[in-house]
Amino acid sequence: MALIELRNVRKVFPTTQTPALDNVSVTVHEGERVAVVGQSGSGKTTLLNIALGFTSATSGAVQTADPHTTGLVFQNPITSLDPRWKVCDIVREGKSGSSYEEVREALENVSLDPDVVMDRYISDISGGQAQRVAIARALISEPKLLVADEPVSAVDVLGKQYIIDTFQHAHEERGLAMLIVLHDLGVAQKLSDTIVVMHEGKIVEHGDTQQVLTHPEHSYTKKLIEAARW
Amino acid sequence: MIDIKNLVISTPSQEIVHGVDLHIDKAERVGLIGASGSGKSLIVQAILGILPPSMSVQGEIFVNSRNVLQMSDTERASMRGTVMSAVFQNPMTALNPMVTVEKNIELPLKMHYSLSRDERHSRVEEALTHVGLEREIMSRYPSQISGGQAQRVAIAEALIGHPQVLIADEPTTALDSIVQQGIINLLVQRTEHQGAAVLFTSHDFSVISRVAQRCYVINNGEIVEEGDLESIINSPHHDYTVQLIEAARDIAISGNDTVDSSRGE
Repeated sequence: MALIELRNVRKVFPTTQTPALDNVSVTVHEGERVAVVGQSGSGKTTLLNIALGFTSATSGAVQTADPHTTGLVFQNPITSLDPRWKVCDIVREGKSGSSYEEVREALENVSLDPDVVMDRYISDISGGQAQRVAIARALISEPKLLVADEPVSAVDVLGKQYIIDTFQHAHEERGLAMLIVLHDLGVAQKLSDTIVVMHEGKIVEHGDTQQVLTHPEHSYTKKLIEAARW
Repeated sequence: MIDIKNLVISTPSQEIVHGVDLHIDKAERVGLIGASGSGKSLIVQAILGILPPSMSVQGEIFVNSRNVLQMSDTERASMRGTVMSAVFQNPMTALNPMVTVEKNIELPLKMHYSLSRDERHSRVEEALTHVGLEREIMSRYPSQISGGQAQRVAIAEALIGHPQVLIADEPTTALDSIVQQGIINLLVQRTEHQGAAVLFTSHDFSVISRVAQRCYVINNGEIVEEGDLESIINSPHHDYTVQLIEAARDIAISGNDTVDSSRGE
């Protein structure tokens, strides 16, 4: 069953002539991990906003994500978490009526020590830790689908590893499906089964992640791979 | 060029940087690598004399054999742009949003050199070409250009006064991967051309390895390892260095992963 489906979607913003999305089709099935990759301005975030129902498509067919079974994570944890709330209250917000034990477990699942962070405010923890709090909030209700917009780009390499491990674990344990927007193909390699490469509002390559990474066809995909090398 | 001895930086309640020694030779590119909160940016701010007022600093920072910690604000200001310049993580907040790209770039020339308006104009034009930007961008405001373009403008501004050292504090972290690569190549190429030294901070060994010849690894305000970049990457001694290298390698795409990339490996 599809959790998200976009078919031949086109999006033109009123102020511009060139479409932000042009004939884009993406499906996320249950248990499937889809990465949408491309540079700033390629249309990745517009695609995500349409998939979530935040923006409407100009034309095409859209089945948006079910908000009751979808967790959300954004790029900047500092602006997506309430500075007036304690960490435990932020995480609890992800599942109404959740118990103290559930909140502790959700924090442990993102490798944070509940005894240390529970009563802190976001301003008292690092950016990487704050992003893990945002992920704990997104995953506490055990959603079927996680939608994330550049969840690791504002985090250092050690923080990235924690987050990648958390996502991999949730996928392996409970078949969490994902739609993740990324610019880094190295991270996409870790977190997706299917990859969608976007360039100037169009999909230039779409397929099995390993296949695309080992046999890229489009020159733009090759450039992205080159940029993620070490 | 820069010689830091026993640098200690503290807040009123705790010590954050604990006795750091760091040395940069003339025209040498040095990396300072550590995770968030390790103290990298505080060291950069101490060199530039822009630490928050709540921080206290002890030790010595010699730039061209003069201790900047004992200089007046005016003396330090006279060095910025000519002796040392800086680029920061977020170019959008580093440029003055109220003036055009041209006015941003020419600022060091206005402060330190007595040039005519026409001379400044042609220097800015030249600087833009060097950082790969079109002349048309001169009349735009920072909000009217992309993040990658803004970082190029910041580099043009930092290098226009021909500083002896460029301090780059995580200059690529806020940019996407293809743009990052362009900025790194540009920094290396331009500083090499001008004979400027570089101090480059990052949390990512895959980035540092494209810039630095030598590097310092910092953890919780202490230098835990120092040396030639190649030898640190190939045989790291400290557990923390190993952790940083493994994390960066784990996320990067290695040479063997692709069979027909554009590099033809």
